[in-house]
Amino acid sequence: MHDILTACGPELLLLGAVALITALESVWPARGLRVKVFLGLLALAGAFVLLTATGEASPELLAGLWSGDPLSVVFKLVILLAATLTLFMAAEELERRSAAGGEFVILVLLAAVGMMIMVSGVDLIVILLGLELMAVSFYILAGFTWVRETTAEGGLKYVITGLFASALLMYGISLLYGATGSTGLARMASVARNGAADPLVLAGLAFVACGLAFKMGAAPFQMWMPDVLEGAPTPVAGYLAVGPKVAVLAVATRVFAAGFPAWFALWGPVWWSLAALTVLWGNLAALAQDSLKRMLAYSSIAHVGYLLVAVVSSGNNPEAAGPLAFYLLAYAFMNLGAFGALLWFERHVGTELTWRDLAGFGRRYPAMGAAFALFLLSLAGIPPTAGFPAKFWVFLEGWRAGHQGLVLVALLGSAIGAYYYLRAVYALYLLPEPEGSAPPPVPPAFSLLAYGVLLAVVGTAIAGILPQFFIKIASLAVVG
Amino acid sequence: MNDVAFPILSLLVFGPVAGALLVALVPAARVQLVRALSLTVTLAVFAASLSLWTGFQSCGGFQFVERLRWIPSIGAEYHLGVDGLSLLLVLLTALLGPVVVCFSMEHVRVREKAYYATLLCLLAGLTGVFVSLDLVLFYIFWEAMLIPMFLLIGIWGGPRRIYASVKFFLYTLAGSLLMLAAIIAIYLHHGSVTGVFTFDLVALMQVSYPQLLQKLAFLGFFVAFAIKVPLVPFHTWLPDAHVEAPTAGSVVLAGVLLKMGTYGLMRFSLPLFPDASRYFAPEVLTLAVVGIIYGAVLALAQDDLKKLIAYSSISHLGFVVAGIFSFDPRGEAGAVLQMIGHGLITGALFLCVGMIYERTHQRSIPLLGGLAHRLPVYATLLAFFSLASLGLPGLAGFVGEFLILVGVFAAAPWFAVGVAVGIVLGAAYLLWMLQRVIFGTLPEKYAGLSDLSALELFALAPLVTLTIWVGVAPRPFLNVIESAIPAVLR
Repeated sequence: MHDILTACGPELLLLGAVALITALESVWPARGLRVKVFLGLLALAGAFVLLTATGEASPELLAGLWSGDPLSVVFKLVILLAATLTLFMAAEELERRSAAGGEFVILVLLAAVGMMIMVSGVDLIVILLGLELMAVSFYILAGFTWVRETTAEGGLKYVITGLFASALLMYGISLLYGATGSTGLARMASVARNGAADPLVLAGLAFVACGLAFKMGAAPFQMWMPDVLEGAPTPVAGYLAVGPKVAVLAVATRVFAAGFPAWFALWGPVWWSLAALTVLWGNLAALAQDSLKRMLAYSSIAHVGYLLVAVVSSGNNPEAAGPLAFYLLAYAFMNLGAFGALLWFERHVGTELTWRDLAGFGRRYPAMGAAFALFLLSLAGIPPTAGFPAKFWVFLEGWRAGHQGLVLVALLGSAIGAYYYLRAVYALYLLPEPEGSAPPPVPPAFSLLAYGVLLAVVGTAIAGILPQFFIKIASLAVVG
Repeated sequence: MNDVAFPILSLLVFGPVAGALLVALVPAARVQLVRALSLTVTLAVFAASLSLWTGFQSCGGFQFVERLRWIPSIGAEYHLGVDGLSLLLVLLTALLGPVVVCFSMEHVRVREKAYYATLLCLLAGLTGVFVSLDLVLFYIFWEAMLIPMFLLIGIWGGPRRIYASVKFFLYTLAGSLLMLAAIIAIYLHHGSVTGVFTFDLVALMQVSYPQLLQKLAFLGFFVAFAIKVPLVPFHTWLPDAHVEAPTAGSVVLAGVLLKMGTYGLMRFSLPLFPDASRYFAPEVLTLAVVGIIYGAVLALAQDDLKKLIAYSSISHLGFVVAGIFSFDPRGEAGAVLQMIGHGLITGALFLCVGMIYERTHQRSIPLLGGLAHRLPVYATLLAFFSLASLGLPGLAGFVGEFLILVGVFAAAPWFAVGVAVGIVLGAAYLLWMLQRVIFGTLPEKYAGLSDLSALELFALAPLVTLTIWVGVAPRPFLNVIESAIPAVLR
């Protein structure tokens, strides 16, 4: 019992909160939303404290199913951050739309638990369990009752592609089990160390790679992402763009880089090509988008590409998990911030915004306009924002690991990407306001959403100007 | 080495940032306060920068060094310092600050609060570029300064400002990314050779890089710098940016921003990749000479006063690059002096163009004329700076050009012929412009124009003084510059 508590205390705490909110939900079905959100935030904060307090737990727990290594701790911190920012941003929206708020909080927490299980799992079955918990939570979240038709469509699309990805993953796992007689990563790693490449294992790995690529939205398995993100309620879209990436990329690193380093020559080129393709596809397709939400969706595909550079590098450079974690942290701040600012504009101006609709917002809404510009510049990787050290460190370790070509492709992608981010910034500040249809000014008022965005601004700025603190935490994550 | 306890360089970089924040906090309606605050901040920064001049010792090496831990995990430091190469550029930036603020107080009337905050951020970024001795820090300033420049051109510029600002931003960003790759490559090589992973420029210069790496990294840096200079064929953003930029933007652009490219060549390319620099010297010299002549010929063909000065900048910066790639101490010293001279003179010329534009709302040379009759002071100053620009002995333009010519002649006589042709063409387009603008008959509608105001004179006065000072007695400046040349040509 003690073993379980030290191993997965934060997860249990979140599950406890889920149980409590569920109970409240049955007592006060339509009331007390603030209390429920507050409980959710409190649980996330508690999990955060628990995670940092226990620090480095034993790398192997629960009979070799679970790892508490620094890699898992660092990635879990990012997951908790993403869930926290999401709750901040969604709370008032739930109240405004009198949607089933308690369920929303429960699902956000459950998704976080699922992702944390994925990050800690060192057995493919555990990872799969976590992944399904995460996926099912997101299936519901993505189709959450917002008054939009695309929501249902996006949600359905996500369910179907998600199930397909899970099937691929499970098939791969079954092949791996057949070849090695185990689903434990350690056992598989020892098989890989001792023998030549077994075709059955390779086939299993290929299916696992496809499944993971689907789940993270890497090209050519990215097609569901823009529709789902566009259809999902904006705060969910932000969470969906960040959270699963953290967990799935951690799993990819653990399975491939930690499990099969000896076979890097075989799986490296696969991820290499996926990374290059994703960077180029995401950035090029984003150029063609007018809708801000779709633009951010394609941008999130492009960012999967940059992140995959770190995954490829971690195959022969164990230090590369640090930049991966730091990038994800920076990405959580800037991307959730961008979705938060977008939500704010949607709330005050109207939905279905295109980049042209931002014309004049820099003056009309100076604070939120500046925040959105900051997030966009950060996503583009312009210093002194978080996006710059994140890209820089990933590229640095990629180059060190000998993937110069991939780094150059990623740099090319960043150059292309700068255009569409800049286009939105230029609409914010350079385009004149359209005549006659001036959107209403917004009086400053207490708003959880604004505080969430402020938190993201602070994170983006600090990680950009004085990144050492975050870099130090991130470099604890080592593939091992 | 005078490792002063007082962080004067940080003050020069972050003073304007603090000023920008202060300006942003002032209510937008209180325009007078915004202007006064901006002028005070820039004047204070300029005054502080003078202590660099008095405290500088012409003995080589970096002075006023500040060094703090910043990102130890990857070996990046907060490392600032100046030497003879950067000192004058820092001073030039600090000087142009109050000058453009003075001009803007008279002429900018749109969104003034945001304007001054942006201008101050731009000045901060530029100073940061010149004083950074850590490659990551340098890169951050190099890129970060794009944002204020983008806004300055894009919000307060001319009719095609949006096109120009986006083009400016994307061009320079694309160039910088290759430099980033080159920075990573030399960092890793240095680390693998010495076991110390650092972005410290001084440390990186201690290692000699393999030929192939030198050549590739040189090209990576070169594209970034060549776009900034700009060298032909990377120059197409410049006329757009200049023509559309507000006057203050043009002054900062021509006065300091273009020097980031030539400064980068001297600070990074030559010392880090000496072999590759010499290997590529003929090609670079060719580009420089082509730029000199091409810029001059295009300047001859311009009817727009601002475009004429913009193309003359391409020509003059070609001189600087030719001097740098002469690998001759005289050529190098001339290049730095020409950077300063060009900063003063072309900055002043853009101010002059701005002053006439604010009065007549057009810059077309054929539609002007006879300004000497109605605006004698203005005409005198325009003639003064034009003559300085074409290299009249006794003024700032001459000394640098002459030294460059000597240096290039010693190194590559045939290229010197091209440079000399550029000087002749420079005389042609500038004198012809003068003839058409200040002589002849004044168009009827301009009979009511007023001559320069006190504030405008105040803005131009320091530029006149320095143009004469550098032209008549360049020795103190050359002493400073020459102390840095051995490190460039190591």
